[in-house]
Amino acid sequence: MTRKIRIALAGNPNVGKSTIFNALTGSRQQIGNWPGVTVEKKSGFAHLGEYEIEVVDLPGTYSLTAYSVDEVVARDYIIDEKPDVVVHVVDATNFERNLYLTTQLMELDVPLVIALNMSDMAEKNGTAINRMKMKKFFEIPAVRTVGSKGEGLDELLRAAINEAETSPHHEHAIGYGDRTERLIADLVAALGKDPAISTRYPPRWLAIRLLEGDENAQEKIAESPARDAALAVLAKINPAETEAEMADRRYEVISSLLPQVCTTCVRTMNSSDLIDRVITNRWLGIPIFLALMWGAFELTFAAAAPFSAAIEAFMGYCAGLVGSGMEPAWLGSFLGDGIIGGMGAILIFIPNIFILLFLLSVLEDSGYLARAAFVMDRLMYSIGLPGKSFIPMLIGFGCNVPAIMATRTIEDPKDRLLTILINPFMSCSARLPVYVLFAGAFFPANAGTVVFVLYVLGIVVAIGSAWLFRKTILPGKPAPFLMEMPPYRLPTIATSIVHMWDRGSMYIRKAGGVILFGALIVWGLASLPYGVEYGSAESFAGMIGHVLEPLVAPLGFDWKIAVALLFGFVAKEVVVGSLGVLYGTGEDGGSLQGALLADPSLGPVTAFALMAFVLLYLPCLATLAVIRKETGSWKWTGFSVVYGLVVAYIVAFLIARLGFLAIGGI
Amino acid sequence: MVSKGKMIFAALFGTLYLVFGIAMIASAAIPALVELTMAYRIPADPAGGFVLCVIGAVFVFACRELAHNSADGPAFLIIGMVLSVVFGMVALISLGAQGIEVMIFGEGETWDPALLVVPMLYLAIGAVAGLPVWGRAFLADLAGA
Repeated sequence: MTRKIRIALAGNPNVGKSTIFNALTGSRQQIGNWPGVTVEKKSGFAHLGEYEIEVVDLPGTYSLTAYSVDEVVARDYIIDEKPDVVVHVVDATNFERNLYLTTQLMELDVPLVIALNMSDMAEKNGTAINRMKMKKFFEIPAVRTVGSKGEGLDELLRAAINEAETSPHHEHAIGYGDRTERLIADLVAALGKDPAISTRYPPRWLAIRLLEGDENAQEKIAESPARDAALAVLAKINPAETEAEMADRRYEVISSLLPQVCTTCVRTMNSSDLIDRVITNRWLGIPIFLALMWGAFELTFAAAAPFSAAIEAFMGYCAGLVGSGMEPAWLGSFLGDGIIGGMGAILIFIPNIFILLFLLSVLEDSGYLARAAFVMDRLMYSIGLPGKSFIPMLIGFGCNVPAIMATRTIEDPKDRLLTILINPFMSCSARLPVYVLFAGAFFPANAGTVVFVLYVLGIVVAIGSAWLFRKTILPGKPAPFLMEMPPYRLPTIATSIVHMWDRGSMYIRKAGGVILFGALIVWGLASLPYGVEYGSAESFAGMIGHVLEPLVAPLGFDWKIAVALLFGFVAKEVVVGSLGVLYGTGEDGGSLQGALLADPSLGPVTAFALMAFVLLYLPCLATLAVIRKETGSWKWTGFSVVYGLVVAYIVAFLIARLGFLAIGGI
Repeated sequence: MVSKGKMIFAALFGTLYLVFGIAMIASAAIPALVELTMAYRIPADPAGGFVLCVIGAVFVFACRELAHNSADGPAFLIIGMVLSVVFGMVALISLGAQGIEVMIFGEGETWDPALLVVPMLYLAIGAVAGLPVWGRAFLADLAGA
């Protein structure tokens, strides 16, 4: 008969929880070499013998003080869902720092097992952790694991099962000194007046949380009959001082136990530290970051060219099959203009997207992107912005949806809202096809540099907007940025390819889904009413475009661009698909770049203004949905739409007008 | 003790990268210089020039730190060499991909292998020479980190 237990994986960010989770459950949850990848709990199943084990991966937290949403998610899960065992995943290479969370988990009064993860790296560094002594002093079993190689995972499951079912349950308590212990005892007595509270939460833990001024804990007793008695005890103390004293006591416990269990946990300068001295240098850090980003975009553009040319040739061949002489004519137009012209226009850029995602994966897996956030923090903090928001901004290079979800790691609500509002300006991969199309057509010699400039423009507008919001609608001081630097690792091709595929495959799905759907709607609008010339001013698309044209004419755009931008609201790639349909490139097999170059209303200036407009205007539909979800406000969602449109319009207008003046043409 | 070899290497490549980088930026900014720089196969490419200047600056920092006998000196030197290799690879792949595209899909266009002779690539070939000499232990430590 199958027996079931539930274990929760908890631990600091970037200690390999998701790697262990994936190895145990066979899932392919997103993992990354920077903190804050897991912002929601994920669950899966593992099997060992007669046991079916539900494994829950909690967001990474440095403590259980509930300063951020992910800390609350992790903590509330352990308290409310009461897993049979909590597995505390510890980075064995950074053992001492991880133990702070251990002391807090111990106070939650749940069965604990410690997974000493990345033990192979720790052993290479000469770190020797004595697991027998850990068991003796902490009364918690410790298991050596290497999540990336699957080592020690069966033993970990066995220890968890043993702890859940057969071990006597130990109560772990840290002594906080006479004065604090008296306060804890008074609070426990006060909370005991409310059986509902004292049975739901471990009373000593809740008392400690209240003494440390935890707002989330205060909310838990807000409606309780024990509230007044608890507040009377709390009135005797200064929460900030008490919190500091209690943290000191925890560190004292750690300091006294550490030499007993790990005599070699001594930090020495290694290559990783020395690289940081260069990469995060106050003068060289930002230039190196910009240089690497330029390299990524240059490579994205250049290395993809032969692959894109091959896909384009294939599309041309397909267009040749359906283009001429197919009866009925509408079917030829449907297949040629609608499907090949629309979806084919996007497929050509799949190599660019995959190469960019591969390169970003390499930078991420190496540990560099975490340094980039650190480097940018100095600049951002100096103008009043939270440095922590740069990680969601970097994630935004891939897709704005997970990037906005990643803002949950930002504790301060204003900082978080500010980061959500500026994130759509970060150039996601969906905009890349638009850049590659226009930069390749109008700036063939410097296409990579033009794409790089657009990405930098996105960062500049995001930072400028954050500064503006800070000075006007979201005043305040940014929260200090505390971030753990993951060690540098030589990224493996296989891992980077898996990351690339995980993130890039959605574009292929999108090409066959929302992009195809959008392109077919545009094809329908360009073909109807029945009898009009395809894509002419008399078609529905032409009518809509001509209504919109006066709005975009000051930017140098014509009605076809207006229609493409309108449908780009669904997904940014649809801009390219719509242009493919409207320029009718599918049926005659010609390239869209060629058709754009032949259009007398387009030139380098309008092309650059258009790329800037696509970068900055409306967030896509999925991004809007997640903004609504994360802010919980239609007002801020609407603000994001209006602000993006206004900024895009102003920037594109300035580019167009200054460009026309500078080069005397379009 | 200061390694004179490392210092001379850092100073030499720091100067070369900065000179070529500034030349690339200058030839993009001042059209009159294009004829002169193109004669030495230095393209008018401000972004590429900026990258060369960044690598040059890392080597110059390496030279300064090595002169002060700082533990950071070798780190700057090795990062300079690693950046040289990275951007040399970027140049090689970019230009190679261009060549492949022209040869397969060029429809009569021809590709001149001499296009591969760009500062970002040939300077990297020189700079990488120091990597096996001074970078082996450093990179081995990193691989094991």
